[in-house]
Amino acid sequence: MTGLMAELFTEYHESLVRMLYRRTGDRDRAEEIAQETFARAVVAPPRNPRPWLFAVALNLVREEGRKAVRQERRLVLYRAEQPEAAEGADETMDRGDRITRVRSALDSLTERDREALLLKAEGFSYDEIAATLGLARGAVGTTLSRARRRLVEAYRAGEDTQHVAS
Amino acid sequence: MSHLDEGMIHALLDGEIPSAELPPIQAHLGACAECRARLAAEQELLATSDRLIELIEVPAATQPGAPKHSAAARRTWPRTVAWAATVVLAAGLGYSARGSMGAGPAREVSAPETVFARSPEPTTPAEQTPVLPDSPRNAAGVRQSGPPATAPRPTVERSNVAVRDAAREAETRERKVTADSPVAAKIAAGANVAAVPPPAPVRDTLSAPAVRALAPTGRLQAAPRRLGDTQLRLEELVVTGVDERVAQAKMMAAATPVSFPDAVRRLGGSLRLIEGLVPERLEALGSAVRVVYLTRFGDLVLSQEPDDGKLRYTLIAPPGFPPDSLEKLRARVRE
Repeated sequence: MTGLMAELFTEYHESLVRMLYRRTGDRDRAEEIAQETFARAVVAPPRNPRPWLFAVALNLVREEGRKAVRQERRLVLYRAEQPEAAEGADETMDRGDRITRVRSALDSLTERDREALLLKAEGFSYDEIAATLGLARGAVGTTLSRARRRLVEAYRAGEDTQHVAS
Repeated sequence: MSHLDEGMIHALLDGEIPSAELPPIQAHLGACAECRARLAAEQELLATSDRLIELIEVPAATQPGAPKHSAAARRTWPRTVAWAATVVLAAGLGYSARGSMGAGPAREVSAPETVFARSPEPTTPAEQTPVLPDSPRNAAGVRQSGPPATAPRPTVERSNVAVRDAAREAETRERKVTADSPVAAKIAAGANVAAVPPPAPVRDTLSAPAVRALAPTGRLQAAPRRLGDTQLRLEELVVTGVDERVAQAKMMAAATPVSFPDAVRRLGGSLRLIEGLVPERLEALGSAVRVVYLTRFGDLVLSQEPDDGKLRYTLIAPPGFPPDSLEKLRARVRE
């Protein structure tokens, strides 16, 4: 079982943390939730690990979100998020701004749309997304199309606001 | 056939429409300018959306000395100790697994780049829905005991070998979009969409540098720039990073040299090469043909394998190979 654990970890950890980071905006939390997820996988080794792991992780996010509203802290984190230093100052600013706007755009989506989008970004097939989110397979395309449109629209709306403001 | 709804358009763009269902869609697209325009618009939307999400990258580990913004959060997390122990264990196991593999016998070697390839189109509807052994919705609340013995037990080398290192750069996507833009037209024109492979395999594995960066504390250190997983959706070209020892062991163990004509024959008459590079050798490994290029980082392999009537291409970079260069090479793969 421990071997399986190591495999799961090697295979899915990075992807899971990335998805969780995109979802929560908090790297440490993303890693904590990932660890908790793997810990549960040890207790009950999943037969279909990827959907299982991501479903458990997303549940933990939702559960935690219900317990404590971290909205405020998260907003602070958005501002604190530092892009890579290698870029020029202007580029860095620009990139930071864009990331902040993507985050708010993501936040404006419904939970399901956001999750479907983040799973797709991790290379999930429609079948896997359906299994992870408990959706009908036939609903995945519709969900993704709506999520993508809303994300881009919300992002562009943020862009406009900013241009008006500056 | 009525107009295509957005869900169908996105499924089409995501390569999620079974080929059996494609002909009526193609026929409709051929006849309906409106749907063609929508297809093109949705394709752009999809690309933009992907690019936006990929802007959000996991930052490097917190610098030493910098204030830990989530120290408070850590305290509130109930299972801190448990998971910390888990990750140390996992990291340790990871190391030992890698260690044993390095010295391991040839039998541990398999074709890594194919292991993760998902079956692109499940053959029956019944197979299309993966079965979750436990309800994940419940799993969050209740620790469940499962039958470990029934879980498929993949081999250890699989996890290590398949460490995949590919880029998740926005620019990649941009390039992909440009490269793919004829798709809409192609589909509309009734091109043989069925022959276009569905999306390349998964992008879920840890990059080799990231694995190495697993410190004894179990925390991921600043991983080098992720190569992420560049995949040419329609070319089904997967960029892979592979542990050096595994790659070498594998080559020594199983690959046999083949001649150029033989390689072409094995692949049914089509062999791809990287434009501008001179192959060092050609090898056969199982049903795959590997074109090996020497680089100063080690062997760069363009593996091509018949799979379900198509050819699957995998670019396997040696450890340390610069992501930028890999990206450029990827764009230069030609028949």
